[in-house]
Amino acid sequence: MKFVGPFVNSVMPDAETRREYAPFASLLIIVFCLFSVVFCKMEIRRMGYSVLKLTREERKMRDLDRQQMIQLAKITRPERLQQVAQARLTLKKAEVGQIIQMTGRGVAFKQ
Amino acid sequence: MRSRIVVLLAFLAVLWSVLIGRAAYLQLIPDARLQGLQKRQFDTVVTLNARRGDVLDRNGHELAVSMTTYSVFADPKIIEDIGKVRRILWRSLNMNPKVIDSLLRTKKKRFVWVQRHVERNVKELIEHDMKEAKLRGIGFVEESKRVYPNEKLLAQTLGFVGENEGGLEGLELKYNQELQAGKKKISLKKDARGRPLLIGGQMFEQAPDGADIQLTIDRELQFVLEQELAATVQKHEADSAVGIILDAQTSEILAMGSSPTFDPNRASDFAPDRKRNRTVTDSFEPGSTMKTFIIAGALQRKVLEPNTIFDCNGGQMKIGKRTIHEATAKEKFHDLTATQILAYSSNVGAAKIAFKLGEDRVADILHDFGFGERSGVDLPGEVRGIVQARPWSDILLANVGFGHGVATTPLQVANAYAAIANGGVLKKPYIVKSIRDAETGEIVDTKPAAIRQVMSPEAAAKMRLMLANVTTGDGTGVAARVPGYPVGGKTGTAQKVNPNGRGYIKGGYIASFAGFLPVNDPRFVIYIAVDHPRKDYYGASVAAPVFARVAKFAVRRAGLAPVLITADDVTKSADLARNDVDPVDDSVPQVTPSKAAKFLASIAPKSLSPRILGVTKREAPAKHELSLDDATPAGVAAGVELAAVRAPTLDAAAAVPNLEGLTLREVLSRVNGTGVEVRVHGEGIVSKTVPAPGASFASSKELNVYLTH
Repeated sequence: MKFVGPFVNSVMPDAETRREYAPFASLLIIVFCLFSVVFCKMEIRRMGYSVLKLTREERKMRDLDRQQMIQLAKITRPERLQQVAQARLTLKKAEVGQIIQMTGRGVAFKQ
Repeated sequence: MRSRIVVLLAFLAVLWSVLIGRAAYLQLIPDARLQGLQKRQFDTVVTLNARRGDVLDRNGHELAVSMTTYSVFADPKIIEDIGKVRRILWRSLNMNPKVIDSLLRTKKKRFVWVQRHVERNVKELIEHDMKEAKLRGIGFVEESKRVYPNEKLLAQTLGFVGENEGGLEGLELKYNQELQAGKKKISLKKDARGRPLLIGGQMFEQAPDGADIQLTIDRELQFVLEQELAATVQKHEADSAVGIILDAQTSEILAMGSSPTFDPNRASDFAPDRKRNRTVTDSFEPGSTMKTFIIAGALQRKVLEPNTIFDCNGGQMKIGKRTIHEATAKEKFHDLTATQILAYSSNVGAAKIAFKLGEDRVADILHDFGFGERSGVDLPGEVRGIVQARPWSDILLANVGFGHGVATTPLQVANAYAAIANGGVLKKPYIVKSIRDAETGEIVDTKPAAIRQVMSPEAAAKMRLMLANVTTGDGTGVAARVPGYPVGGKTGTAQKVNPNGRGYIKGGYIASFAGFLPVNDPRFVIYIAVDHPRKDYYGASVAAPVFARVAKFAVRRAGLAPVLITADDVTKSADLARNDVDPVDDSVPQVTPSKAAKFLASIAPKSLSPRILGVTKREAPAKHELSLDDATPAGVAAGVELAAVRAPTLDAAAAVPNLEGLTLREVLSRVNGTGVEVRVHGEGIVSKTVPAPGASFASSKELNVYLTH
C-alpha cells in the first residue's frame, strides 16, 4: 500500500482529478476482484482435472504393476519350470541313487 | 414524439425488470423441480472398486490374485457402421466375426456383452481404433477378475469365485468376508463433458482392498505332492488319491491335495467331484493305519507294553459266526509282540488288543485322537467321520481294532499321527498362517492350539519307536524308507465300502500309508491314500513308495541333515526297553534266531555286529543286562527278545575287526585280557584303526585307535 499512494500521486497529482476518477477506480478494483475470484475458481477446476488425470495414471500404473506381478507368478509356477527344464534344458528328474546327501561327518546317503 | 419515447422507454424498463426479476427468482428462490433437474445434470455417483485380497503361500508366492479388467459391451442401436466396428473388435478380441456380427445386429437391445474381462491394453486399443474411425457404440465396464497363476495347484483348497468375485468354494468361500473388497460410492459434481469435478478439496480416496491371506502351504511341497498323487493314480489306474503333509510339531498344513483335480481359472469346465477337497470332505474306513491308535491307547493305559506277546491263532480268529483273517492267507502268525503286530499288520493281533481294551476304552481312544468329530480346521465342508454309537457287537469291536467299522477323513488320520509325533498332544490343524489388513497393515497370526493331551511323552516316544519298526526288517512299510532319515509309520489296505449297497466292493481297496520322519525328532507327518487302485492294492506297495518320494523331497527342502545312529541313541533305546515291565502274557517269544538277526542287521550300524546266542524256549524270559559293552542295537527297544547279545571281541591271533563308531570304553572293554595293546590318538569315537579292519595284528600286537568327534 505504501507504493499505491505515490503511484496515484504521480499519475493524478491533482486532488480534483483524483476525486473525478475515484468511482471509476473503485469499479475497476471490484471488477478486478471478481475476475480474480473467477480465475481462482477456474484454476481449482483445472487442477481438479489434472488430479483426476494423475489419479487415473496412477491407477493405470498400479494395474500394470499388478499385471506384471501376475505374469511373473505364471512364468515361475513350478509346473512351468519343470516343463521348461525338461523340454528346453533337457534335464531329467533325479532317479533313485542320484541324489547324495552329505552329513557333517562326510558320510553320504544315496537317495 | 417525446411522449412516445417515454412510453417506449417505460415499456423496455418493464421488460427488463421482468427479465431481471425472473432471473433473480430462478437464482435465489429454491424450486424442487429445478433442483431435481440440476441434480441430474451436474451430480454423479462414482463407485470406487477395490481389489479382492490376495492369497499367498507361506513364502509369499501368489496363489490367488485379482486384477482389473474391462468388459466390452455394445449399444447396437447407435452403431452406424457394423462392418467397421466388427473389424475393430475382431482384431482386438480374437473372436469369431460371425459371433460379433450377431451381437451387433440385435437392434432391439441397447446393451449386449461382447466379451468379459479383457486386459487394459486391449481396451485401449479398441478405444483408439474407435476414436480414429470416429465410431460410437462400444463401451467398457471396469471389473475385477480373479486369477490363479499356478492353475491346478492347490485348486480344491483354494476353491474359486463366481462372476461377481464372491467365493463359492474352498478358502475363497470360507474367508470371503475377509478377502472381499469394500465398494465405496462417492457423490461428485460433473462438468458438461461428464468429468467429475473435485470441489472443495475433495480428493479421490481408494476404497479399502480386501485383506491378504497367507497360508501355511509350501508351494513346492504342494507341487511335488500333487505330481506324485497324479502319477500314482495313473500308474495304478486308481479312482483317485489324496495326500496331506502336516508340520509334526504344530499341525500346520504344509500341503494337501487330491487327484484328479481342476483348474479354478476355468472351474465351470470341470465336474463337481473334482472340486471337492477330499482331505476333509471324504471319510472312509482307514484300515490298518488305525491299529496305531488302538495300540497307542493301550500303551497309554498300560494295558500292554511294546514287547507284550499276543497269540494270533495262526492267522484267524472266530467271533460268533464270522472269522477274522489276516490280510493275506499265507500269513499264519502265532505269538507276536505288540510291536510285531504293528510291523506285520496282524488283524488278529489288533482285534485281540481291542478285546483286551473293551469297547468303552476303544471308543475313548478314538475320541481322544479326534475321530468322530471335526478337527476345527479352517476349511469349509469338513465332515466328522463316523464312530458308531455303543453298544458295539463283538465283531464290530474287532473290526474297529484293525480300522474297519469306523470312518475317518485323511486330515483326521494325519493329525492323529501328528499327536504321536509331537509327544502326545492333539493339536488343531490349520491352513491360514496370517491375515493382513490392507488398509491398516495390521497382521493377525494364527498360533498352534492344543486340543488335548492324548498320550504321555514317554508313551508317545515308545510308540514312535514301535512305528519305526514298521519300516525296518520284515515290516510292511519297508518301501516307505528314506535313507538317512528314520521313518515311523503304518501301512493300510482297507476294503472299500460299497456306496450303492451293503458290504464292501469286491476287489476294491483303499491303499494308504501314514507316517512321520525323522523318528528321533519328527518334522513332517505325511498321509497318502489311494482309492481303488486296480494294479496292486496293498498300502505297502502302492502308498508307501509315494510317501517315501514325497518325504525325500520334504527333508531335502527343509535342509534336514541325515540322522546317524550313535551309541548314545542305542543306549537310550536300550534303556527304554529295559524299563519295560515283563510281558503280561506268560508265553515266551517265538522269535527265531534268523528272523531276529535279520531284523537287527537291518537297523544296527555296521560297526555293531551282534550275535544271537540263543532264544529261550517256553520258559520264563531271562532278564537281560544291557549296557554299552553289549553293544545292543536299537532293535531291542522294539521288543524283540534276545537271550544274550555279545559284540565281537578282540583276539590278538585273529584279524582286526571293524571298530568304527565305537567309543573308547567299548574298545577297551574288548581289549581287556586279549593281550592286544591299544594306543589311543584323539578324542571321540573310533574313526580309523591301524592295522585296518580285516588285517592281521603285527607281531607287536599293537592296535592304534584314532578317535574324532
